[in-house]
Amino acid sequence: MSQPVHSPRPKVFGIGLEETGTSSLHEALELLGYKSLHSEDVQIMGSVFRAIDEGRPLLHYLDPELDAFLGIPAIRFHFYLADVQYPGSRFILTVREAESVEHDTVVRAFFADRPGDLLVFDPIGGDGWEPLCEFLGQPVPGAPFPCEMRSPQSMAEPGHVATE
Amino acid sequence: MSGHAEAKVFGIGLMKTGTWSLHEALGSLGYKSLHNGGLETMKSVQEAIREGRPMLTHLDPSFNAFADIFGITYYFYLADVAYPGSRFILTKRDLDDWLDSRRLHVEKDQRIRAAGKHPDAQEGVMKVDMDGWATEYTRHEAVVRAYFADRPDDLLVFDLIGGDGWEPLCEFLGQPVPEAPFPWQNRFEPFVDPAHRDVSQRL
Repeated sequence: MSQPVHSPRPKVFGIGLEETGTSSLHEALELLGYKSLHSEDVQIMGSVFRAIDEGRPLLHYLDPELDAFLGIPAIRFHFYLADVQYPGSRFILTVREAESVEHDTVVRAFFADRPGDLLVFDPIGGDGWEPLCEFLGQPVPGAPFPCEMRSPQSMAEPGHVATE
Repeated sequence: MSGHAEAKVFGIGLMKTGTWSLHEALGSLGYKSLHNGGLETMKSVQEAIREGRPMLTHLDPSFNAFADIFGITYYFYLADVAYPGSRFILTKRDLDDWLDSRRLHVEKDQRIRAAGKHPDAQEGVMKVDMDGWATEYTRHEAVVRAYFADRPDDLLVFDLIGGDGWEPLCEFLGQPVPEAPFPWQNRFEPFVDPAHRDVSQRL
């Protein structure tokens, strides 16, 4: 048999809010071989908004080698465009246990009839390789799942501290 | 036409783009249309979204057309998913005209507020922000067009002031063109200064 024609694998979009374990997910995706971009850089966000405003696909101005995108507010905000512009993409909504936010509800509602395209993932709460690899159709690596240190700032935020 | 029991017509243009005329036109075509609905409607749509329920859950189920309702305009893609077969109409107008119209609205509100008479004055909505508004307007049109790019039959971009009327609307909705003239009454939207009303030179 001849070598299969190279076709890019489906892109992965991490569309959880800040402080939901996106750094761990980014490292995990890199360990799985993805070229992952994890950034809140304003220039990257600006380039995504520029593409949107010009009527171009969201990722138009980003490195075409990349196939995973996390923590980019402009993409998180317009995830539904990523869905129509990059068919077959997989979406990972990182969440914090017991926190209910409108963004998460909107994402869940959008994918309500397509559970196979969305993984709700709580790495801080203990989710690790198994659900992620099952979702992405990848073998589970031998390495431990990347553990993200919670920033002192997030620990000190009201509502995130122990109440006792 | 669509075969979907839940199918609706959603007007998803921003305020002051001819949403009232669209509402009246839909009414003439036999739709039961809800326009804006005020703070109550906005809150009930927002509440349904926060609950993760279809956004019309708390509204009178007899309505089958909607225009100028913030939560619907903003989360149009949720309406698309929750109400399959629905049709979307993006009302639009010239950007500079729209910015002027919005500025005049805010300036009028500011005068009313200064007189201590504004019923639901809120900070933020009372400020003139031409650059922010231009971005909001441009981006909304861009995301709506991009979302429906592969489904042209589900989106009508409708420019009333630019001359669109019954023909594109009725063709889009599969309805016969009525005898009556297209509703012009609020063509220029409330609060537009008379000096800005004469758009005939631009047509």
